[in-house]
Amino acid sequence: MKQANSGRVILLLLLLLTLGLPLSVRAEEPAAQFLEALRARRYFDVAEQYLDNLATSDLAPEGFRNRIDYERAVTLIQGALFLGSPELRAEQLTKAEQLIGKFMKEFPDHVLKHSARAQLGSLLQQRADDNVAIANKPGRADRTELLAQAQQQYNRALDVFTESKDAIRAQLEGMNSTRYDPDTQQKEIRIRDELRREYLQMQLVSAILLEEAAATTENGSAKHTDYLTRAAAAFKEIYGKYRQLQAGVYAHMYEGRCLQKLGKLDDALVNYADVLRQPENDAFRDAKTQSLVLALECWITQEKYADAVNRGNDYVASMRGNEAGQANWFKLRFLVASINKLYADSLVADDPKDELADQSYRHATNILRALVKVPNAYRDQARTLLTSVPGGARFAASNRPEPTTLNEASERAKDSLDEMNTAELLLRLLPERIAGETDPQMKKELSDQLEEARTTANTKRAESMKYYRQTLEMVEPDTPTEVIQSTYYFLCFLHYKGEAYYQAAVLGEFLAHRYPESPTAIQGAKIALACYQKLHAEAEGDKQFETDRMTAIARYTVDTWPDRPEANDARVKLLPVMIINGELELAQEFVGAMTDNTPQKQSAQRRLGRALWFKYRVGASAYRKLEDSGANASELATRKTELDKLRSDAAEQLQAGLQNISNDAAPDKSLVAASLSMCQFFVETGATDKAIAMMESDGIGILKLTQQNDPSTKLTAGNAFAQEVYKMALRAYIGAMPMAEDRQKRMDQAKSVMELLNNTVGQDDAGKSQLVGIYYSMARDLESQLKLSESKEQREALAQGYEAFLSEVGEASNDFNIKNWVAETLNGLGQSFDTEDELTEEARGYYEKSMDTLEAIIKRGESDAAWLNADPKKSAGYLVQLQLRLARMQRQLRYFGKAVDSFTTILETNQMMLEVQVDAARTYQQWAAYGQDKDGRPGKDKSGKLIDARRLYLSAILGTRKGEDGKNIVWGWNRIATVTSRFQPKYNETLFDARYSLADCRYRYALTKVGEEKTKYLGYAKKEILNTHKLYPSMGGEQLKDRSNRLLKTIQRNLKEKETGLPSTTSGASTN
Amino acid sequence: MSRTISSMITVLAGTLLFSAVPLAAQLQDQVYLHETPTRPTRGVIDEVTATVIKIRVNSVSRDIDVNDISRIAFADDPNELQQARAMVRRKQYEAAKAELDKLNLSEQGNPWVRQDIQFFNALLVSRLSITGQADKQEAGRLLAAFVADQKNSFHYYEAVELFGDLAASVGGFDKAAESYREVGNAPWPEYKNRAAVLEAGALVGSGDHTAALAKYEMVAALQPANEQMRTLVAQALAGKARCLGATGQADQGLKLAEQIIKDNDPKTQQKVMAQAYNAQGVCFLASDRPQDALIAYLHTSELFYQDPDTHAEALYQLSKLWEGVKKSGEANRARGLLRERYGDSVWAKKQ
Repeated sequence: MKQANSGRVILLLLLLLTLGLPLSVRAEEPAAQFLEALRARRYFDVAEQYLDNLATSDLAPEGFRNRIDYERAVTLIQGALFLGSPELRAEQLTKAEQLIGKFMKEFPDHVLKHSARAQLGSLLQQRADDNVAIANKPGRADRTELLAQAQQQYNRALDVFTESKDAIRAQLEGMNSTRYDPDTQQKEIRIRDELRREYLQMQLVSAILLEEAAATTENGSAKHTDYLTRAAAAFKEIYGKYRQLQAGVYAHMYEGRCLQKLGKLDDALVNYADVLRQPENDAFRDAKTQSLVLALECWITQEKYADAVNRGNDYVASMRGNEAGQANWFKLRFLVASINKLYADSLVADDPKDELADQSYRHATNILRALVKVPNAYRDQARTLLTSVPGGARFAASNRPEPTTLNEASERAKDSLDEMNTAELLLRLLPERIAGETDPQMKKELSDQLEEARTTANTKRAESMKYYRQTLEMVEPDTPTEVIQSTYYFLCFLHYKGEAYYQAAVLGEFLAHRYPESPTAIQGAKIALACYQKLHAEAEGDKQFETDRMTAIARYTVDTWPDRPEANDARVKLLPVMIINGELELAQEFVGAMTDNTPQKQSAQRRLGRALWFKYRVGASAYRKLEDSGANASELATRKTELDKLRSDAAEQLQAGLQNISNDAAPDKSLVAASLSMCQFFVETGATDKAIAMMESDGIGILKLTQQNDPSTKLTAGNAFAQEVYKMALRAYIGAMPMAEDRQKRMDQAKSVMELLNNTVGQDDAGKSQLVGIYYSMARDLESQLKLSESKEQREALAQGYEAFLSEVGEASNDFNIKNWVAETLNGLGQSFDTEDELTEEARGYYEKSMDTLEAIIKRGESDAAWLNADPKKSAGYLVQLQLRLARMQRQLRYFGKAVDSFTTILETNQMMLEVQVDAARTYQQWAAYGQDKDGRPGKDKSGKLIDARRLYLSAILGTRKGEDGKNIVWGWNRIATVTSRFQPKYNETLFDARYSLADCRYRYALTKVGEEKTKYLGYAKKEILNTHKLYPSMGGEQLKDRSNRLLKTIQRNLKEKETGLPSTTSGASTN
Repeated sequence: MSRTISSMITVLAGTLLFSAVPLAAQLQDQVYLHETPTRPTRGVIDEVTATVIKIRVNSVSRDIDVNDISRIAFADDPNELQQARAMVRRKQYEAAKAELDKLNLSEQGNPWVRQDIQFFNALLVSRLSITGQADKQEAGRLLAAFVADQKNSFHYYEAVELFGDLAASVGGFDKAAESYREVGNAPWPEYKNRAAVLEAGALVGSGDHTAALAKYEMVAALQPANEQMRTLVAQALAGKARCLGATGQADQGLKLAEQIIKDNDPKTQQKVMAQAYNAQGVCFLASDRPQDALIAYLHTSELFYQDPDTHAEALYQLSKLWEGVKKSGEANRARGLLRERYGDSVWAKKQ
């Protein structure tokens, strides 16, 4: 009934609009006509685009630009009728309402003012209808709010129409009292007639709106009664004034309907009887049919079957051919059949052999048999009813005939789909009811229903698919494409429901690519994306295929419908893939395009922020290695610029993703992970106060959550996340110390967090080993942080904090891990102040302290191996690592003699440690170049012989320190090159480094000579390079080759030869 | 050939009293042409051959080429034959066969009507045998007999082609190719071109992709002048794409298949679409991309399953490809459907 009302209101309005436009305007405006044509063909997108063009085009008809907002609104309103989703429709109508409002405000006297008002009223009414429809969906928690909203909209629509009605009446007042001359004033007469008609329509619409508004209130409530009473009065007034017109007859029937809703059935029946008494005339046929339907409902309620049966049967017998397929008639026939059955039942109750009963049963059977044969809204009910009519079951049992046309197949598929949806609704609702039910009998019944619903959902899904596939088989060239699109879509949806993801994806993608303009396309794309996600999750091992397909459809969605919510969804789904693929710039672009201030975007920003932050941290670590490897300044500067950008991008995303997150928000993994990254950023950039405030905050502060063992902090197996939090917190407290008002407080907090950190690992060997790693990485992080800090002041402040903390912790602790960390961190502090050109005082100071700590550790470790680790093997391993670090530190501080001693100590028992051999050879080479070490050596060797630079170069080349077997413990570059050449290409890097260093040492050795000796040794150096080139033409890559080429030219210059450098490469040489 | 019109007048007189159709129109043979499907040429057919129909229209004799004819209604057609023909047009083969079975051939005086009944009987058995509702052997026997005995029927080339289709569907590709070559002997270019495409299909079946490719390329290079030809060229292109995949040029095959898919309307060119997606499947398999092949064949099985040959092929491939993604249930379903619907097909027998 409601639908009928809405449809009528819209029809009336459309008529009104057509009549409301002055003829001259319509005739002179091709733009308006074109727009009408576009809208009539449902080309709403094109119409919008056309209006966009008109807004700037010189070709726009005069004055047309003023009405562009109005036309846009009309396009949106009409387009909204074809949107399936009430939510999308609401969105579109809101926009239309704004445009109408704007138009009415800007052009209050425009010729389209009445139409605009009508449009506004119409859209308000549409929105109210939508709200009522959504509210009446089962299980809506927001039903009350939606109905209240709908009521408000109906009231506003009523105001708008009342305003229009008043305006028309005012216009008519002058005209009604004027006598127009039919010969000369035809135009005036026509306008007056149209206005009268509009006035009548406005009255009808207003009354209908009052009736519809009653549906937003509770039945029987005062407001409900008030709306219906007012509506009835309004209809009565119309009938009183226009009883001779068709509109008057309808008003009389509507008044009856209001009375019926108010429970005044006898009064209502009087009205219906009046309508049914109207002459047999096409103009009244529909009103009579509707009246009879309403009257039948009243009679059923009143159990007045005899009258109803007679009236009903006679009327059904008068059914015309074209009425057999009309919705009203299906309802009427079903009601008449029902009443026949009820009447017969009542007769049989008194007399089982009553002949009238037989007659009524026959009537019922005949009507119902006809109803079950064709698709209609009452078919299922008719089938059920037929089974309860004596002898009817055999007709009901005979299945519906198989479809023979496309329409039948499609209709059948849709029916099955509806049944599946109903069953699925039950599947969603029943479990809760079962859980809450206390009566065992009822519980069992509900459980049976649930089981039945499960079976029905599956069978109906299969049935629906069968008929949709039949539909496709019946496609003819003249079948509307929309039918094919919707069939594809439903098949896609049904496959998805049946978890047949490949099939659903194929259909969805096909729809999306083939018919992008269809409303089903975006839904297809959405399902396809969801399918590939499912398949991705299901796949084992290689997931490239699923990833590729997922990426492709998500990108297509974003490219094709960038402004739709589905595009946002696709972006969110694509994000992890982009992150995995390292396409972070593209990911930033995608996230940037998402709708602002939505939880979806913030979630994406947090995820992206974390990815950027992770990349930054990996980059910072690589930067450190690059720096250690002696990369040139420009390369380092480039990397640093990249890292700075990465860091600021990460911070930007994280900040946006965490913005306005209330402390009351329930912490989840995405939030805590992003919070950690954000805090790490603050620590890294010296904003330790911000980090502390954030990590300590109530609600979602990660330090507190971690301490409380909150489930949201269980991001990884084990304690990795907690360790990261504590590491960050420790750095934050230490970093805040120098500027803190209460330094001791920060010191205590740092110690406390350190304790927490230590407790995250077990007390066993594995735990201790893990702790070594944790502290080592923390020291490295600090070093990076210091190197990348924005100012020297910042660096110094941070270093001071650490120094103070390390000093206190180092002295107080007897734990190897802590002492080791102290040594390592002090070294890191030194590194951060060290420069390529000079060893600064600050750096030296930290190095010396680190070295002292390390020496103390080694000393204790040598005497008490168990102190390092209970396992003697591990303990020995640690000792070697500590010695190596000490040796490197000694070399760094130019204690070359001590360094070679330390290296030799290691090599005495670990000669095959190639890394240490390289270190030892390089130390000799550096020592030779430097000439003197900090302890004043070269001095004398073990045999008491004075060491000079030449000897040191020879040691670097040929090795030194004879072992007990008479062989050199330190191999020197020559042997390193020989050994590594046997394990190509595994040790290529060392091999080419050794061969280059060998040539370099020979060259520098030659420079210590004069005359022929010098020439001879320069020749050796030259030969060394040429041999390398001959054996390995690529020389380990362009960079290394270039280095050798430069050295060769230098040698050639010293030999006063032409600086030809390396000969051009010829084939046939060994590859490397 | 003389006609017994006078005897028919007596039979029809009663009916005609209630009919609004002019007497002359009822008593004449009606030849429907492709170009004017609703306006038949009415007259008396004097001669029928495999290539030409001679019809007298208002005493003037006219030759109509068989390739222009969409159907013929003989003046003395029994009602059952008329019904059966209409049902064939609506693809209601079972009902059409039942209608035809009501007729007794020996009772038909007009030899062309007898010929027609024989042809439609063979055609229906053949069509029904594709979906397992009739015996393919029987269909083959009926068609072979028709082709051998009725060389002057205007259905001759159609019957030869049907025989070829039947042979191909059971793996008799040599026989199929031979039949299609015979179709190519018809005097009209469109028959020759269609025969070339069909023969190429048979060559593909026998594994000679290189020879098939040459035939497909020949037709694919033609400029289509009408919708029918456009479809044929599209089918040739799909065949070419498939052969490219099978001859080590999968990338080119994929590009071509993609183009065919873009260029054709899924609504009206379902068979071409199925052929193109199957070609894609062949190319993906040749490129060792089984999951992409699965997706390609799924297009045929989910969207373009109306043509039995392509559908059967897709089902066969899917029954294997589903196993690759650990979907045994789907594999069994595809296998079952293949057996159930196309149990006699070459694809079902490959399993």
